Amino acid sequence: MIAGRLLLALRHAQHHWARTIVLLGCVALTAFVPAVSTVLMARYERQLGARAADTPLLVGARGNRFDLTLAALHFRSADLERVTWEDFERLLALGRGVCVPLHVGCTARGRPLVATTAEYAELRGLALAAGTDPLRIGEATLGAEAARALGLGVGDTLYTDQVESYDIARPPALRLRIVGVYAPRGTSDDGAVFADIKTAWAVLGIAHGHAEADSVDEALVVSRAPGSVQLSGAVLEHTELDDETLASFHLHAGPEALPLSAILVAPYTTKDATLMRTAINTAQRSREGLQAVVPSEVIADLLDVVFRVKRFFDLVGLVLAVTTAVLVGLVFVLSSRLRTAEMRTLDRLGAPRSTAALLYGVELGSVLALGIGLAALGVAAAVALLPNLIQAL
Amino acid sequence: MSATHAIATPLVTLTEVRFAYGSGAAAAARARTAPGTRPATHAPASRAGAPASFALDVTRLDVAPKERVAVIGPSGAGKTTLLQLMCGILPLRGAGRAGRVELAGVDLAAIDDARRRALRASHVGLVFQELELLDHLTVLENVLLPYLAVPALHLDRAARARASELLERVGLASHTTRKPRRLSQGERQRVALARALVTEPALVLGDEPTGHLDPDTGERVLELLFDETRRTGAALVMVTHDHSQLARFERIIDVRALSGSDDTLSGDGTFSGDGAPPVDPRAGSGPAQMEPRS
Repeated sequence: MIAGRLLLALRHAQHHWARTIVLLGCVALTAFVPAVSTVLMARYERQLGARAADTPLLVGARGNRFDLTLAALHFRSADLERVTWEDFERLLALGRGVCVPLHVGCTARGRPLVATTAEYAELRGLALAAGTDPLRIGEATLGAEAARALGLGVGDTLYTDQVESYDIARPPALRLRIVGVYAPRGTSDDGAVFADIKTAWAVLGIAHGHAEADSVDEALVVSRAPGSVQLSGAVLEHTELDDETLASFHLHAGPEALPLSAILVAPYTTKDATLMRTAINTAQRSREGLQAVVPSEVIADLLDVVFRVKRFFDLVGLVLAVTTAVLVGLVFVLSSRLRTAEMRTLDRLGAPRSTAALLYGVELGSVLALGIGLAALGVAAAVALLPNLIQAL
Repeated sequence: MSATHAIATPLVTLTEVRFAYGSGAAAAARARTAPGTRPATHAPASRAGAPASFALDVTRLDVAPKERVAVIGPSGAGKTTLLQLMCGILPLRGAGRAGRVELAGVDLAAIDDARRRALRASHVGLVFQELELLDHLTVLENVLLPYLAVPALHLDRAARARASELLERVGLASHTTRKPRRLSQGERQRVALARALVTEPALVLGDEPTGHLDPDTGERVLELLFDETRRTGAALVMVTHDHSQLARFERIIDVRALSGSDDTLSGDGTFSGDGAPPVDPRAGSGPAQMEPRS
């Protein structure tokens, strides 16, 4: 009856619970480290790769191409050199593909505020779960995860985060009206707040709205000249854009000073892609401070670095496995010496010759199985609880 | 070969058994070829106290069902070896080993190891000093250990009931869930006794089961052992150094005389005559066994 001998093995493990827990911990840790790194790396690779494949060409300021790609594709905050609306218009004028301006770097309640145009949703295949796209300045559409986490929906409002809380010269937080929620896509879009490109400029203070110069208190007028009125800084700016205040919003910069983080480009053909890339990366454009990158190539290079790091973790895991194997072996060898009398008793009672091997095997097998089970639970917990790795980078 | 004890259907029979190792194996062989010479049953101790050589010869030994037999002899003479031969713990294979051991009518050399173990588990209860209780099991689980460890025994409701009943009889009914380390030495030995009896064996072998106990506790444990074997109808073969207990036994065997030369002890626990052990008239060349006088 093998059940009886299984009970004997389990009772022994139970009786020596401290030893069993140490062994379980060692085995679980040994299994956990390579497993979690493999699973998370696979997830990382999948997330990065799929997103990059959906973005044929990316144009941004010269500089770190990894920062540019991660900022444009995954809204990772980075101090990017800016491109301008003028650059966007020049690209558009080439007529070789769909160009989508993108501004990232501002946030609303901690969520990345992605200011763009309506073409973005089309390029990314974002479907509306409710409401509409953000078509006007001051409107916002939430990604599915952002809506869930913030507990907001169509009709609610959302304040942007002030860029500089203690700088009174900076514009106040802007109150955005939520006009829609996108359906979940399983990408970085799910966690973002989307707005019209001009909304980002309003948050940055380049665009603002206030009472008409003719209607403000004369004491707040610094000077009047034909065609222009200079108002005091004490004139309050509108913090919300609605039907009444919308008309008062205006830009205080030309296209050459309106900042963008990047421009997503979907060339019509492969030839268009090659020509655009060549045109942008030629000396002329380079001098203007632009670069065009293929995100999938950038991500491949990035993953190459990441997997070199993973190989290091694999090596650590191997060392850990060998150490654990030695430790477990040592524990069982010492244990077998301590259990000599027990085995002699079982032998004399008539237990089969294989009993000792069975007892050690069952105990070792149970420790390994439970340890690996614990490691699997740990991996599942890590996958479920760890934040989006891309955002954490 | 001489029949030494007239038993119609013996429970255990040892015939022409020789068990030797080291230089004793050669000595035993010489003894076999020269009847009347004394077997080399012990030799100078080697390291760790184990004898460098040893030999035990048994011309003929029968144990009847329900019989109570005491085995005596000096340390190292082969008392424990004799018990282990009787139940097949020591197989008669290899150099210096010969003869035939039958347990419950089965020649132990004629069956394989697995069957020999199964036969031992089902027919023999062991109360050896070194047969320790397992610290990681409860008292009840220790009693049921033969069922847990031996596939040939089936742990069923009857076995569990028997274990509980035995614990009750040895006065440990309230200790069933305790671990052995929380028991006194006497209680531990009583648990060992219950374990030996739980399979309802036909033969109980005891190797100085009270050796570690104080006299009072030892007396109580022996009392239990006799009562329980009497109640269950098991034969009892027990090694003892305590000659005051010999009167309890129906027969006494001096292990030194098993080869048929000398050294037997009377049933009342005293040497006969001037100190020379009496000769069992039923033994062949040299009687090894005799009935108690009382």
